[in-house]
Amino acid sequence: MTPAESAAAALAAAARWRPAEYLFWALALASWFLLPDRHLLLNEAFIFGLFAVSLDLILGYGGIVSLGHAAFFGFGAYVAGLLAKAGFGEPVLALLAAGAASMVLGFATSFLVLRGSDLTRIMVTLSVSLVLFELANRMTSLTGGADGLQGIVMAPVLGRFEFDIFGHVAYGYTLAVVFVLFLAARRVVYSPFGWSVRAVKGNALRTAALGIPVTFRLVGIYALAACYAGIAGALLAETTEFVSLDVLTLQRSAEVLLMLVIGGTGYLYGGLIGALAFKVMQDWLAELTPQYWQFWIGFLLVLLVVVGRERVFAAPQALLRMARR
Amino acid sequence: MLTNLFDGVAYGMLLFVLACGLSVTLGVMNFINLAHGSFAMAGGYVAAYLVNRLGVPFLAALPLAFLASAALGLVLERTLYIHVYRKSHLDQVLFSIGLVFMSVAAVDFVAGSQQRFVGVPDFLEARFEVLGVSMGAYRLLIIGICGVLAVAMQVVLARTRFGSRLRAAVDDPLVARGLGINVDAIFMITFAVGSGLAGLGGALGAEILGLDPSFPLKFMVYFLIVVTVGGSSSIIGPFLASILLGIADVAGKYYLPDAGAFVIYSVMIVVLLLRPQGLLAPRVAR
Amino acid sequence: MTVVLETIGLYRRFGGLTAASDVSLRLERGARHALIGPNGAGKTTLINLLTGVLRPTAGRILLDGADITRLRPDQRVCRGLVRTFQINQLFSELTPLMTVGLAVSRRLGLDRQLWRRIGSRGAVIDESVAVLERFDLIGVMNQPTAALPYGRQRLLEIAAAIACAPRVLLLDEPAAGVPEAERDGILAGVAALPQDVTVLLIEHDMDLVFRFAERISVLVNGAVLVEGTAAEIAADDRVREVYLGRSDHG
Repeated sequence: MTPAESAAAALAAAARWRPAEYLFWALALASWFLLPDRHLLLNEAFIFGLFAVSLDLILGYGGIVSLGHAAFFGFGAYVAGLLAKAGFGEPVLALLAAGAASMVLGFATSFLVLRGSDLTRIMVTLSVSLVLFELANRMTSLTGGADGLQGIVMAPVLGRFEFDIFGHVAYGYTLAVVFVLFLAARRVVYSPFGWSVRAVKGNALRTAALGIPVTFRLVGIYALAACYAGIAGALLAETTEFVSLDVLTLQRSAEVLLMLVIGGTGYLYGGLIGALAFKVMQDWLAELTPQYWQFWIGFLLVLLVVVGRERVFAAPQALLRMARR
Repeated sequence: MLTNLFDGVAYGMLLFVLACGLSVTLGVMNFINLAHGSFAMAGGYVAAYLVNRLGVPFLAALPLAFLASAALGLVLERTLYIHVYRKSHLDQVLFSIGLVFMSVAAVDFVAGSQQRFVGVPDFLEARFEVLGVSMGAYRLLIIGICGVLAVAMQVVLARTRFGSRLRAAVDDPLVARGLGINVDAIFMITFAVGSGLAGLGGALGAEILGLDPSFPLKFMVYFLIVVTVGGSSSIIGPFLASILLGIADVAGKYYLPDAGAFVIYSVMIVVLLLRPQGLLAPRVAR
Repeated sequence: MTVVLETIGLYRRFGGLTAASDVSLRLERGARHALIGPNGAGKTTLINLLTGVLRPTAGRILLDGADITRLRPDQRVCRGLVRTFQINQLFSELTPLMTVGLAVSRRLGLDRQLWRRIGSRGAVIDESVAVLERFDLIGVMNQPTAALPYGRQRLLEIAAAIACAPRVLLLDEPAAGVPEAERDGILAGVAALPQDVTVLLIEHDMDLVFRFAERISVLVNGAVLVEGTAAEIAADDRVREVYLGRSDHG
């Protein structure tokens, strides 16, 4: 092979679909058919998976530590819920609207977030989510305040598939949406834009020295991540037909961070895997200690960091690395 | 209106005592300790227990709360924090949030989720009229204690050997070690004192701020705002920031009751837009 | 001859310290210009000012006659003002192919693309491979940068800059820390630059300086002490004083 051919081959190989990826999605699809009584759990798992993937875009690829990503998740949820209550109950349209609205919010807040150090970023992202929480809390006539947004009735998906109480349609819908969005994210991540974002995370000084505008790239990925998070929130609102203030709390932001960390950052599937693992664990532990679930999350976080993420996940990550070849 | 100013200053100074430990930890050890509020909560609950259950006089309970939180800080620093110092900011965030969750759930389990009050002695319930300004004795006490503490901290930092060693360790830990300064001991003491001060603030502030298991979560933002706006390279910075925030919060709640916490967030956002490095840092000169 | 890069009265003060004092440089197209001076003379500061990493306290910078004093670093690179760093600034986890590929993509205006996979365009591949070949990096082009020996990393540092198709190239001590044997590779890469590319070289290695430069400026304490042809500088007493006993400092 000439150098040019081998170079082209190397770049193509980096972006090529691995067998493990096909397996993952095949299993996901199979789960719809084979695990009908788990649909409600799986639905939530994939919704939070999408939420975690959106966080991976800014954290794993962009290097931005955010403690307030729930702002976009909650915003999307409320937008979708309110649209439904206002009579625009077609799920897909509401989804798109929520995504667009969240993207605008993300774009607007990105300029605050990208100034200053890590600490200022943590502060600002946290504050944005808290401001939204306050807003939602107070505008009770609009959002239902602490009681949550109730009375959401979704129209059938695409006019044909009506949501049922067992979550069959919901899970199928969520799975389809997450799959499509994941494909798109995967393309973005391997595009020149995606690589330039990764470059910014790796060495912002060098990236600027190559002529790439650092701030614009980060704004771009931040807005995209906000859009995805908003869609995840909208999915939650649509499939559960309820939106509570919980979607905007620090708790949510911390949980999604933990999910992503469990699954691993920087390769997109980490968000999905982490969310699945987390939800399964939560389901199991909630039966054992319903009230003090929060304690165990905290314990897990502390343990994870003190022992060292690399060491805890050494075995699973080695497996994943092999699967990625 | 002046009463509001007075209340705002008292609130601000309370915030200062609570937050300065966080500021120091960040400035000295470059460590983002989001669990700082848990130490404040610990001090508050210890004081509540001492005063309400054991009948310890209020003023005596305050230094005891300080010691309890300082001891807790010391123990946690030596056992857990020390493993996390060199980790990334993300890891520090995850770690400290984990501690917050654990502390909140633990306190909820042990003490229940209702609000706690620390029994305040009668003489502190008095109010004075000075030059037409109505001042509560309790808030006067807060201003007094916190003022003394602020001055003491400045003196320690600027005039004592410990202070100069601390400043050396902040400037360049490697060189400081080379000069024979025991940087680890300094970190340990600083962390303990910072946590102790948080505990004192928690005990002192229980009456005004409220004390329940969600304290660390509720007030984490305030502490972070103080540190972000005030910067972490001096005592003056957080002091001014706290006063500013205290006044803004009290005034906001009085004049614009619907706006509530927005005032604080807006102030913070405006400050950060103009000065990304904090109030007192030199303007970012690229 | 046209003046490609020019600074007019450039000053940079850090509090009480003046790192750059009334620096007025003029580089003509195709110049092979070296900037020398003792440690702490302000050479890297000057490069940082030229590239926009630092904002000047006073003065202006003109590139091809246009005032670029207020432009961001990446904007200056897009106009052809490119630098290398004294201490390698590379992407430890990306491969040399990716690094150069990214530079080439940007140069071809493709870096904003969201959809197409990087490297799906032949032009990017061809140009990247050409640059990598010039610096003998083809053999290691698919290894993560962190795995490369220092000398190769240094070559990549320069290759990345060349991939940006510079009109003016600022080399900040390109041979720093590179073993003797590999220095020739660096010099060869630089010498192979097209004649119309203007090069400003900062170096301590006098051997390298005199092999490369046609004109030399001497910077001392932030100010230009003297400027002239290589022969003039070599014979200048003031320069010798500044470098007393340090004619071959590596």
